[in-house]
Amino acid sequence: MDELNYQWGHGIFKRLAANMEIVIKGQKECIRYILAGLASSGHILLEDNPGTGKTTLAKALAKSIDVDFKRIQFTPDLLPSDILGVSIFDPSQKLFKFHNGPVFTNILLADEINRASPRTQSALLESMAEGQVSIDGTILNLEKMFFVIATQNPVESSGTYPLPEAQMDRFAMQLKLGYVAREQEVAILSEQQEKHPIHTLSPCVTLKEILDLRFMVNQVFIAKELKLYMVDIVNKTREQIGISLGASPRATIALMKTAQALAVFDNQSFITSDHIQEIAVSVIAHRLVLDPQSSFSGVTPKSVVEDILRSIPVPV
Amino acid sequence: MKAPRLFLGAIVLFWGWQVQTIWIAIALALILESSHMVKSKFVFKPSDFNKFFDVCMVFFAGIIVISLTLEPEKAILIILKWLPLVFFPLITAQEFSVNGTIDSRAFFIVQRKRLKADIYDSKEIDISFLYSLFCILSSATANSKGPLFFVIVVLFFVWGLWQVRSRRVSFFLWMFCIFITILLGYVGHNAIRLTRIKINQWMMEYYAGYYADNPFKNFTALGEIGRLKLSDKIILRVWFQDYIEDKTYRLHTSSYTGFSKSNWFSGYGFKSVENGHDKTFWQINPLVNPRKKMTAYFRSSRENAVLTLPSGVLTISEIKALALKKNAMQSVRVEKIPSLIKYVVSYTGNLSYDAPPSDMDLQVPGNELPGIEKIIEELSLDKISDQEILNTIRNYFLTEYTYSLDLKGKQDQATPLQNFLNSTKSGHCEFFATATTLLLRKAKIPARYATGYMAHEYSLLGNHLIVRQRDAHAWSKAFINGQWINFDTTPPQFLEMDNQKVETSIISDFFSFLGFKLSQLRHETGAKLMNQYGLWLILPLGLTLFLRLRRSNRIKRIKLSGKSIDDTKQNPNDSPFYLIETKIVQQGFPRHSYETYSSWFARIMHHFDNENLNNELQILLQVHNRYCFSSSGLKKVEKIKFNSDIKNILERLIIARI
Amino acid sequence: MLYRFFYKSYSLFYVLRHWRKRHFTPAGGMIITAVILSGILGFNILKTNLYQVLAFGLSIMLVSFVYSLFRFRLKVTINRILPEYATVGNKSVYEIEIKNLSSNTQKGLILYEEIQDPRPPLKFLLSKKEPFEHLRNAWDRKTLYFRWLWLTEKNRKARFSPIKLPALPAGETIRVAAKFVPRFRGYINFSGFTFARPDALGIFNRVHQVKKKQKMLFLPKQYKLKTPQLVSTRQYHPGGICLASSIGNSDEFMSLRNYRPGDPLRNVHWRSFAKTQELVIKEFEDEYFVRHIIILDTFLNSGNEKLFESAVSIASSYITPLKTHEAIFDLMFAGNNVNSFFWGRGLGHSKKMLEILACVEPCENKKVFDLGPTLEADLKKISSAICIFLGWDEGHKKVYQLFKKALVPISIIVLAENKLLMEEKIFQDKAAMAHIKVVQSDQILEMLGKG
Repeated sequence: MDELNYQWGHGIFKRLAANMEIVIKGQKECIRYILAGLASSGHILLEDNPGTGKTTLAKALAKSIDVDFKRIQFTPDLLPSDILGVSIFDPSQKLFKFHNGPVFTNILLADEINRASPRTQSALLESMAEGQVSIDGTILNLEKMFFVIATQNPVESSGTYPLPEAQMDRFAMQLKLGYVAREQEVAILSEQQEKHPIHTLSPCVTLKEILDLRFMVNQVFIAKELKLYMVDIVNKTREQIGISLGASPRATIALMKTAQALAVFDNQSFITSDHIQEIAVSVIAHRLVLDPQSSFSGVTPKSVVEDILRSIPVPV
Repeated sequence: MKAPRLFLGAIVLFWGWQVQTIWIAIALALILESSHMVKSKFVFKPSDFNKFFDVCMVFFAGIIVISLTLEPEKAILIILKWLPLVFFPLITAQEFSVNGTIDSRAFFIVQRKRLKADIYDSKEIDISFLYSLFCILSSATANSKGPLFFVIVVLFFVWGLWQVRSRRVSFFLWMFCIFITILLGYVGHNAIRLTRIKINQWMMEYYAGYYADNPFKNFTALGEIGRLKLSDKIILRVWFQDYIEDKTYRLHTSSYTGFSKSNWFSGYGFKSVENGHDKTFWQINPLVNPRKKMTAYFRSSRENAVLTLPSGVLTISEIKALALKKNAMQSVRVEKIPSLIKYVVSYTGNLSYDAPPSDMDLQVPGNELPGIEKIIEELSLDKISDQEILNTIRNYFLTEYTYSLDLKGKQDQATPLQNFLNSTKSGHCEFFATATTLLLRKAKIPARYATGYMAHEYSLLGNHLIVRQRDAHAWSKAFINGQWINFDTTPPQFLEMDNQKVETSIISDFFSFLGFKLSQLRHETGAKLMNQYGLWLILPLGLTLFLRLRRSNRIKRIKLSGKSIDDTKQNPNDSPFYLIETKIVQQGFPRHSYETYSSWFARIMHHFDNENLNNELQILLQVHNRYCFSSSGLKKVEKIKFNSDIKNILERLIIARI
Repeated sequence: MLYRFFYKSYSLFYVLRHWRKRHFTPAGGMIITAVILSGILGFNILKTNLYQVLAFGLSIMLVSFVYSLFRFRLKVTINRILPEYATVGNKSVYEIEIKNLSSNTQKGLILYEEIQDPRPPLKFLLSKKEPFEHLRNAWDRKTLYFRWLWLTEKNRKARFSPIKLPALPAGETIRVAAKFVPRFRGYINFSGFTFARPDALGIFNRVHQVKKKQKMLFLPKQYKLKTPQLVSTRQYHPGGICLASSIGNSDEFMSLRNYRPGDPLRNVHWRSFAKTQELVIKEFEDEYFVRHIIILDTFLNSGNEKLFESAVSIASSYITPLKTHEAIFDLMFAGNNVNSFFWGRGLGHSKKMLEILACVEPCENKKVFDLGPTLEADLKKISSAICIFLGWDEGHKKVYQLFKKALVPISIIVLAENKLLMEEKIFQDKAAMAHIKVVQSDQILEMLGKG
């Protein structure tokens, strides 16, 4: 592909990021990665304390693209039917009519996913993986652009069911928003003094452009040694001491795709090792299952991935 | 803290050179330094190190036993001398182990096995510097003279201190501190040495009186009251080449010239004698013919002693002494002798080498004058010739005096001597000798007081003459007709009295003889054996232990990978950008193998003081990335430009450290 | 009286040793050794050259000492980035962040961690017995030196080695990694840091102390143990939530009943409505939580703390791998009162249990195991039990009988110093052998570990 197209992709990114930054201050990195997830057709898991702007972020993204946005608040008594939809009998027509659940949308914010029972969690995750829902024998397809941002509170809180390992694997990346810097927080106060900027946010990108962007991302070239590098990283997670379950090939694919997205954002038609190193932790860390003994020794998945990165010579 | 390369080898060689075991030291040094060149090293467990430590302890115990039997007085020095060899197995184990250190638990295993103490952290200890310290302490025992030892020790310390110097201080400040230290050290050690010598001299003078063979002052028993106690202890065994049966041989120790308050003094100092081609040979006086030969064995409790010699000594040979000094009275003092000392004397038998008489040899102390003058008058010694004076005095003492071991003191006379001369007319050899010497002096014949031993007792056990403590004797030396002669006026009964005592001491003599033979064996043959063969017995011990350990598969060999950990991957591409990396690394900014170029530049960026340089590098990096990772790569034109840009920037790429 | 003297002298030795460690570098120690050895052995000047070594060593010390008198000015902020926990016996790594606030670069500094004074009070020295103390010889027992060492190590919890800092440029922040291996469980209190600056020759240190209080918890030692197979009496019942989380749909549905005003509409069974035109509500099964209990015996009457530590380690080793999706777990032990903590099924996390176990202490006032009455009350709720006992007396026997009578599946682990003696004591009843395992504290892995 010639350079011109990649400049176009770079432009899309810039526009989206700038738009979102009107609403979300001080989260440049997170915005970049979320957009990478969007562009690479992966789903995002945000783990953070309450009130750090997760919903606002999802809303801002939805508004910037002018697509359908739905939000599900997960509670312990949530049933799968509340997510997928339910058939209701219509007496006038003597037919069962299927009412779509919130999953039939473009951007879905699944808030506090770890508060629902495992059965309900699976319902959502299966539909994310398959791209379709099967209810009462019929198969219904989800939207072409279906992007899930799931949030969860840090696992120590009571009343939570941490996502099982197999399900964590379905998310391309896990990100953390965190609290912003002092100056930014002051800016937030000033901005929201009268009204929330999100209400005045207008779309800057169309759905078609996003779909084209996704296509472009898939065309980004990956050099052979970089492929080897990615595979080496993921392989190492399986051998590392203290890890009882390493990352799967799904992780490698996710790593590749998000790196490709970052390359487009950086106006390049090829990825470099910087891109890989940039998002390795976000893509891989949440898929790892630590030995119980290691987790109580201060080892975190993040530190494991960082150690692995430091132990492999990088192709330059 | 690890000793640097070649440090251990060098210090072991230094040790070998100083204590004169250079061949052993070369072998040890080679073994230690070869550890740096072997491809594979061993994995030792703490229990393995413990075994090596046990071997060292065995050596250590062995050295202790050997040194205590050979030369107990010098045991500590011998142990110190061989310390590096004793601990050689342990340091070798450390050098050949993979870690290069010893787990501290190795030293505790034996004691704590039952308790399985795991509160003791396993600390990795490096004993190389400790071992080097042992080598230095050991080299010091060689006691080499001259400044070389100090200089070399200082060099080793400085080499070692260089490793641990604080990175904070500049090189020059450190050198300055070292310089001050060396200066202080030099001044300090000289000060210590001089103080010690002064203290030594002072102590010697203070205790001089208690040395029996003190050539400077002789305590006589003249002033004592009671009975002279003489010990049967055999102190000397002599062989005369020209031995005649039943002949009494006179052996001389020291001569004195001044008499005061019952003691004789000598002011003559000692001068060093140089030894000959052979370390055991000393030329005392020029060789003349005819000469006779005497061999003696002397047991000394101290390491310095005055030798008991016949008159007219020419040479002393086959003697294990470090230094030999003689004085004008022909007293010979030897230093650093073993407990049983042998010497062979070649002598003339006459007193031709004694110093010529001086004024001292004619002086009579004032308080003795009345007694002496009385005798002179009595015997009319001032009116006859010198030879007649001698005869008269001899006759006088022989007829009018008796030999007795009783000591009457001075009683009602002015001095004990006058008591002897006037009243008791009976005493032991010291009385006779003192009186004779003073009489001769007053009679204007220069005279001296001599002490020594009379060898008269023949022992069947060894076929030699034995000299006991009670054979100590004193006599006079007179200068007559231009030469000195021995002039003994003690009545010969003293020898008979000695002979009576012989029977009672047969058993103790027998044991004494046994002891003598054993010592002789130890000192002469034993030492030789140990020196030559002993060491070669110990080395195979260590070797077999080592082989046994290996065979029982307890020590694993680990092949060291030839590459270092931070190995950079071989770059498949040939981008000229790699030259930039090389140049920057050369200037002291290494890149970790996991760092990409961007993150590396970000890390070291603040050392670049040139903004433009930064930007150019970034641009070039982009081109490089495109060259390496993109599908299309660079077009020909772009590649040429890239090459020239790189060349350009390489010339200007000097990064100063801030 | 005598003990007070020992106590005071050990206290003093500790302070001296601490001072020496901070003020002398290892090279300094070597030089001092050289000076002492050459001084003693080289006393007779004329026999050896050792006095030269002595003189040089003394001059090194003198120059270093004079140099170290220069003032050491340091302005820094320092912070430890500690992980959440560390486990006894496992290496733990943390980072220390140092910011240099002064205007010049600091080079060649050495950093020491300081913890709160670990010296035990006199009454502990007199009362607490070191494990296996009876194996030591009489002299050691009388002087209490090893007891002192053990108590001090227990308080100190871990040893930290000094860290050689890289150059600290002015105004910049650096991070250094530090590692340590915890030796005992419980809280460790960091009190601050000591920066040591060696003199030019590298012999003496000039120190600067910075206060920084931080706390960290060390969890008990973990072993890889085989979880006992506890067959529950609920084996043949559909598992409710348990089944659902692994398979998917479950047979939760129990029955239908008529609609009552207030029932949620989503529980309406639409098919029935289609047939009968009447609203019918699906009724679901009441979820039954399977409840397992772990009982930890804290009544230590033999005074052997090692047994207690082993018990705590075994308890925490069982807790860690438990799958908390399926059931609720209960941890019961006696302190001043009987404490019971439960977790699982969204009610808490096993990490909290480990925190509790990290801080549990033997019960001081009572000696006999008397959790029997408390258990009797809750017996109906318990599905299975793992008991970790420190001995075998009437109280233990009673609990065992209790569980046996109620047909509750039980696995008992008895910790003993001598396996054979304890086995004789227990095994009069042959049937008991299936459930009871006697373990010696040094054979935990062999007897209970994953094969």
